[in-house]
Amino acid sequence: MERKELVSRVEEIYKEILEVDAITLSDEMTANDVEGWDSLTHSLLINQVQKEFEVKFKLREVISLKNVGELFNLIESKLA
Amino acid sequence: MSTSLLFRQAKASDIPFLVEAIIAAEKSGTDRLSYATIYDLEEPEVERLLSEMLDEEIGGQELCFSSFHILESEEKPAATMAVWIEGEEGSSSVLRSALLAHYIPMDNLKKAMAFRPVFTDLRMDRTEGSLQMESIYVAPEERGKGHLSALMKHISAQYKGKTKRAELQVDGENIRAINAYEKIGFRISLERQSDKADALRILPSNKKCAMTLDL
Repeated sequence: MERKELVSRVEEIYKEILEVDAITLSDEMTANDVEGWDSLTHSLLINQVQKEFEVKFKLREVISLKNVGELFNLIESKLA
Repeated sequence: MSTSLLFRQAKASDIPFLVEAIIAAEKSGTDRLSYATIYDLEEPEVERLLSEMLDEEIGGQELCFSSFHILESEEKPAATMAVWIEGEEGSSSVLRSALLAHYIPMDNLKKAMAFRPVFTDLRMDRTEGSLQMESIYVAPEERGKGHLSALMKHISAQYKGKTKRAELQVDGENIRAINAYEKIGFRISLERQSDKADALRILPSNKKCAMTLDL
């Protein structure tokens, strides 16, 4: 899967969980940059991403995520 | 006769006592356990999940056995609390939510979304770099013996020089706890209240306080 397609699928998940009409994710973004991305929605985002891409993250992998780019990388590494 | 007191860090074998502490601290003298009410779980299920999460050893947040300090009296755990420096290992709320995401089924996580307006009302951010104290608990038969103050003083002394401020969050109606913390030197720094009807269904009360102590 191309990075662009992956990003757009993740954006769809964010839109659904954060209940926003539009969102543009970039690699350096963190929870602090996105309205509504709090501890509760974070749990849901992590779960929904795994469901959507049919991948399973290890807890340590989720804990070490520093920004959205690292989440994209993690998904890519699981799909590879 | 003098009582023998011992301060130590918690071990994996303390997990049942820590679960008891977390549940009692969350209930704050009521019968409402937020982990159960928010995620629609039964209390024994919450106990099991807490045991597993504590054992993961994700530091920098409260659901980690090695974050806990214990005061033993006569070789038995009498008091405990979780402590960490906020932000040292990342935001505690992000770490904790990754743990919850891993252990709580998606359908139950989704149920919590209904209570989001309450969480928004009561939201209090922890100050980065400050010493956080959570799940503060003294076993019922050990109360009134000065254990809370002894444990807090011991921990504060350990962190003196590493951070300037200790911070805790407490249910706003838990006057007994607030008085006890004030006696030790904590002062209320922030108060929040929610007027949503759900607050009193899921939480001990609709009020929350942050308290701070200069070290």
